[in-house]
Amino acid sequence: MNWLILLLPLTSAFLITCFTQKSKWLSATLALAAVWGAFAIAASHLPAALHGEGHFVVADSFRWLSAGDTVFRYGFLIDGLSLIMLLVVLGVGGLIHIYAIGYMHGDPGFSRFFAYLSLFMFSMLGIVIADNFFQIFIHWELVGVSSYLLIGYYFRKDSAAAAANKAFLTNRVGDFGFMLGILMLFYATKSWVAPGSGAGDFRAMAAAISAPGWLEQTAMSIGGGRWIMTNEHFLWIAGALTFMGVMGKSAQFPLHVWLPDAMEGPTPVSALIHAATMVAAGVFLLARIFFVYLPSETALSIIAHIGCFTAFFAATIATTQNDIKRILAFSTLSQLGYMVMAMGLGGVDASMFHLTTHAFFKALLFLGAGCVIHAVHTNDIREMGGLLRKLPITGWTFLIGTLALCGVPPLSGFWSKDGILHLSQHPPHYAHDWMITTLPTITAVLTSYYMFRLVLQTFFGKPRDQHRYDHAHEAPTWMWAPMVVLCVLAIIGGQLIGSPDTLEAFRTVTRPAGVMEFEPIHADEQTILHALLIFGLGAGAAFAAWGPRRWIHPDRILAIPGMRAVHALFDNRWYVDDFYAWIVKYVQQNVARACNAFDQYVLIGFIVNGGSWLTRATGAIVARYQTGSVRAYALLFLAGVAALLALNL
Amino acid sequence: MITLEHYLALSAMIFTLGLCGVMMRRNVILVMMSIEIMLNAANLALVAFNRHLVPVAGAAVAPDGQVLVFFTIAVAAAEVAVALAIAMLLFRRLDTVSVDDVANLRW
Repeated sequence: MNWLILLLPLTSAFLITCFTQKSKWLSATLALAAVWGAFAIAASHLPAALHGEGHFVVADSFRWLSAGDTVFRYGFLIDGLSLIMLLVVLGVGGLIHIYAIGYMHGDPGFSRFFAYLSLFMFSMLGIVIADNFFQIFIHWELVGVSSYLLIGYYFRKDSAAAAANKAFLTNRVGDFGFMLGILMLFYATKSWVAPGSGAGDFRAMAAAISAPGWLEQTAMSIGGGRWIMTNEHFLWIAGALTFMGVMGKSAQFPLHVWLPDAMEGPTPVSALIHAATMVAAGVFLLARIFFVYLPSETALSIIAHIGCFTAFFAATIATTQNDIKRILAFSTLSQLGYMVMAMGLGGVDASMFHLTTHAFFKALLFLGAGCVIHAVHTNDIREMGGLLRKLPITGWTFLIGTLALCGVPPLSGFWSKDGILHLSQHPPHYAHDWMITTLPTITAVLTSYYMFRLVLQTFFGKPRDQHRYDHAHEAPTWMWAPMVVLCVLAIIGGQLIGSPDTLEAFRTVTRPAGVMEFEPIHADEQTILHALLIFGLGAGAAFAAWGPRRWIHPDRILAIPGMRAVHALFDNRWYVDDFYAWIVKYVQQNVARACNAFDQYVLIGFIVNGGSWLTRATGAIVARYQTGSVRAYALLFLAGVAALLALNL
Repeated sequence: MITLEHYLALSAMIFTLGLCGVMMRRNVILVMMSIEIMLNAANLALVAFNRHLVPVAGAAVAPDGQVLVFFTIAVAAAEVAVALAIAMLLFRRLDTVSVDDVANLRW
């Protein structure tokens, strides 16, 4: 029965691709049935999990491959952690499927789109329920492929094809490290794990690591014991490499460059894959294999700082963008940074909690952005304005999503985000520095600022493009109904899963001892005031600069000396993309040119062509001795035999 | 007393005779006959070696050399059969038996 969670989307993708391309209605029905069927199976575990107090687990696996003593298994491990992730992926995913029916209506590739979506669901669910590294890596790559296909959905558009390539290649960099980390862990499992259990099995490895005295044991010894690596060091190298995979998939600095460009895909894709679920896979992976990181404070500190910097960095860029989807993309980057940082600070529960609420309100925001784009046929917020009157449902749900993202009590974002802010203000000793304690709060202010800049320009004020404004109309029911559901979740999601008992139920069985317990936010006056102050600062600044009165016109801020440079820095995304372009253009191209020259002149010119020249030259000389005269041959033969005898004797 | 050296000297003489024939004669039949002479020189050496170098243990003498000679004779017979066929076809086609006239198989 549980296998159906994987099989339903796979079957749907197969059937749509092979048989129902012609019938849009049938394709959409198949994809929807697969998602909601899988959701029903996952939801059926919910009562057991809620009463399981963190010990709930359903697992099964079969042997797939074996090489020598190493056995590779393929299976599922449904515990609290994967169950909450399943419900998020399938629930949000199912709603977005419904939305896509409306959004993609009339698109010639309608069936193809739903086939890709089903393929994505299959890949993503495989990550969520994987019980070992081997399986998670397969699905990790499958998700990369589905993401590639969906970003490049409008493949006739050059920018979409380029963005798809960029996403795939950037992920390749991260996945290379991920694979090295997995190989190291595979190597290690031979000595850690009892024979019979599959290679890289999460539960077996977690159990091995928790054993007392294990960290001091030798993992590798090279040179007859002269150079010994303990399990502790081994683990932190493997962990850091594995984290590269997280950096690629969850778009952490410096591998974040693909996510903003990924917005070239259709908006439902941006909502599902590049905001709510796939990019959260990295965070999920961190939670799943947290046992690898826990022993090493260095690794945790690196994770915390990278996450923290990504959060701040992306928020600054979001303040200057004008494309509605790009602002949301940078906002996603920023929120993913929060989640990764919380993992680094030891707050697995806090991070997963924020992942869940973020999936609700960020999917809602993207779907709202999709409705706006659908209505005015542009992505540029400078050409919008006053749309609240034209798109009331979209406008109000978007506003609620924004408030949730900004962490306004009592919406869901308040509970999860303030949990992380609280964590960052009282960090563990290894990450106790100014960066962790101040940047997240500044980021929160920036979040309110850029989101209100977006909302004010889009939905309020006077229409800046009268023609577009006049033709705008509210989205069809297919599109606004899922948004309303997500909106409700964005409002109540925090209290729904934020209570200590519920979070306890959703913890993972691979969780090592010693992980920091999540302290739920007590909504006392001080916390609420703190949240409102952060929100007020950001939203107030946005209102002053972009509100109807424009008290402080942005041009006046730019006139302050030095501000123009700061604006250019943010507007050009801190020149990271330009830096990469520079590397490709000058470093990579010159290395390639050198390799090409070596190939042309040394390999081809000298070795290959030289060899053939030598053969031909020898042939030309030797051919002169083939006279056709039998008697001459006999003479030469005699001379040869005589020479051989003379040399030997 | 006839020693191994005598046999070998005779064998060498016959071989040289055959070699000179191969190199000097133009008639293809005579070239073939010279090759046969060289083969028989080798046969003579083999038989002589067998007689003189293999120790006599009782009545039984290991006949390796003699047996090898039979192989040589058999192979030579087969070779002559093929070579004579070639020579005959050569004469029918080109109306010549001189090896110098058929030197057109060259680069």
